Amino acid sequence: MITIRLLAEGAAVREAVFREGPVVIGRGPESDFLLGDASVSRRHACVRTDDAGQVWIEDAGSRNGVRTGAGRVERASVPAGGTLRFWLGAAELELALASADATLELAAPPAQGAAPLQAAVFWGAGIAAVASLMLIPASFWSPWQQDRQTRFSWLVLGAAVALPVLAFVLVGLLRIAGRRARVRDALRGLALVSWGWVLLVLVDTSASYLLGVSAHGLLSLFLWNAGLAVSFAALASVARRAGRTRRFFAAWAAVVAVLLAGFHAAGRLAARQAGTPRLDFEMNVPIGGMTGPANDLDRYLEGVRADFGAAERRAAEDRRSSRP
Amino acid sequence: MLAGAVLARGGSAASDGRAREAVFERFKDSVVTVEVLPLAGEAKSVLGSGWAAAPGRIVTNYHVVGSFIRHPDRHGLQVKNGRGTFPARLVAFDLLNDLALLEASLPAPPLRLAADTGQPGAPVIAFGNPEGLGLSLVEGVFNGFAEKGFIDRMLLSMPLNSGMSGGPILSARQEVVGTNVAVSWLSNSLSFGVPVAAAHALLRAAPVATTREALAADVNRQLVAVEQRAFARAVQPLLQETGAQMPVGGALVPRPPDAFECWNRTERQAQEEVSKTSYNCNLQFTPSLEDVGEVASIEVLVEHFATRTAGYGFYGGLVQHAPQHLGVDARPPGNGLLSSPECRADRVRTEHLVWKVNVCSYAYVHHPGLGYFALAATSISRPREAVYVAIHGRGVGADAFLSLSRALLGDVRFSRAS
Repeated sequence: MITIRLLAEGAAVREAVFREGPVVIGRGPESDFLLGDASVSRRHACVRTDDAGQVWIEDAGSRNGVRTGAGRVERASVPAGGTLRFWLGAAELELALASADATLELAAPPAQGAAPLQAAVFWGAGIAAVASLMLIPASFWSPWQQDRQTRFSWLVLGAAVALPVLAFVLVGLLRIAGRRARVRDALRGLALVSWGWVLLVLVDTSASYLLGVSAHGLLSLFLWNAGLAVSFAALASVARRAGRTRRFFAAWAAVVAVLLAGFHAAGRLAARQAGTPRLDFEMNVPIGGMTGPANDLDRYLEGVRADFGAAERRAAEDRRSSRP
Repeated sequence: MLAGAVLARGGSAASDGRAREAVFERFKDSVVTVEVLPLAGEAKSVLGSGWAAAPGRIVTNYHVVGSFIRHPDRHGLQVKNGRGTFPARLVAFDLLNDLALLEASLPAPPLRLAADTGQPGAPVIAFGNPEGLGLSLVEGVFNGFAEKGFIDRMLLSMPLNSGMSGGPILSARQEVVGTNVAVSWLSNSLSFGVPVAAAHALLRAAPVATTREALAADVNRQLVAVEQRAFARAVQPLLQETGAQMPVGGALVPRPPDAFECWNRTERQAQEEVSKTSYNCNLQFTPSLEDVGEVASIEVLVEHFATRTAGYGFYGGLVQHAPQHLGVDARPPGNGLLSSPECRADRVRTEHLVWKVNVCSYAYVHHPGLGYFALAATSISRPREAVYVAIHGRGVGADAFLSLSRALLGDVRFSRAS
């Protein structure tokens, strides 16, 4: 038994069950499974069963091709005991090997007016997250900065414009990579990532009150890089609504994490070669007398003495190498 | 009138003029222009003044011949007077007092050296070669010694110009009481001189070899004494004093030793929301080297900030203020002067306060034991009140800088209870 389902928003809206292949899918009236979408060819694809009992979807010479999670394919098989998600043009379908007693609940197609409203909600959530990121740092509230309202207005305006632009860019990039996503999903991804950063900043700030400066520095480095990796992976996963999302997400996060580690190592090497001072001026605002764990002055100055010892050793190396 | 008194020990206006001419005539050959000539390249020659202190011996400033001392292989020395130009040779130098002794077969009588600088209020005249234009004579008064500073400097009311560095200061008895040195400090009618005692010592000093290595070694030997003096004058008193405090706005700060010159300023900032009181101190008359600039130089800045409004934003502003006085730059390894920086940031607890501190240190490549240190610390103990301390040490050792930092930072407190 072969089950073909037409999906909308990830939910099945039409289903047909066939005893065996071949089943022709297309826009033409002779098709066994008829699709009305303009991006679907008249005779688009064909479902066949081979001698081994494997069920395949094959491109039947369509214009827009057959796409699966792995991109455009000529043919793809349904994994044993599972389902295969694929796209014919803009139509999303699912192919399953159904047992005779399987039942399925069909969902009503989503209402037409809901999509723009959802997009607007995601857009607003994204703007709110960006605004929060500006409001949290103490430097925004500095009495030396008098143009607070202007800066805030510009930021909100900028975010309002930038988020849809980014969403379009993201959709475009994903399309280049052979994946389909809607602007609404991209906006949702951007909003989620932005709120993720708000959370990260709050966690980072709280940690600075609990940990010493160097321990917090390490944690901070980890948090920010992990935040970047997760953000990239989350945005790249916007196109994935079902199927192997988790594995896909993990792969993206791992790639970005490796890249970040590389950049970080290169940055440190470059800083050492340029002799750039490493400074940290972050300060905890005292809250009820609490500022975070502090080192003893004498121990700190002993550390400075050791630092100067290291500087002297390097100066001695320079002296030796500059001697003719 | 004053000049007349110096030159002729009283007399009419007409005799003043004649006496001045006589002094000019008498000393013009014994006061010389000292010139450091680059042997190759496009570097400009350095001009200063000097005076004959003994037969064949000329006293000038260390800083006039500093470029020669750093690179004797790349420079030549010569002295000039009305009779001609004569090649010169370096005999000895005194980094601390900023004097150098040259040898040249100058056909001029040496000036007579006084035993000491004489009494404050005494009229004096200074000779020199301002801006290389020619021999000049300036009249003034010796006011005793500058009260603040790294070493004893004669305080003179007279307008000296930079080319007059190294020229003699003569008393009414026409004896040398000092040598001109760094000029125009805050006002251009105030000048400074090196007391004659330093010239006496220099004349007795053993001659140095004028190879690059020997001179570099001698500079470093003298730097040890310079550094010890910095410690003794600028740090030791703080370690011995028992809690002498002074107010800086709403903060109480250990009183810096007398060697420091200090000044105070209070202002309201950020549309009256923040009041800031600054207290700056530095050491005057510290020596200077050709390669790394000032040595034994210590600067201290203490600022007190208070705000009546939001404490959260107050620290947001202080975070941006903190780097302003740290003054550290990137220095790639192998730049030939300083090591690359070593920095350390931490939250630090003292007896009364908690601070966020950054310290960077750079070691001098050619002067072992010395370096450049910069500290910037902001207290984070109170929501609406903070102290900012910046300490800079140029050409000091780790002991001096760390002891000073410990003594100063360790005893800062707020004058009001929270």
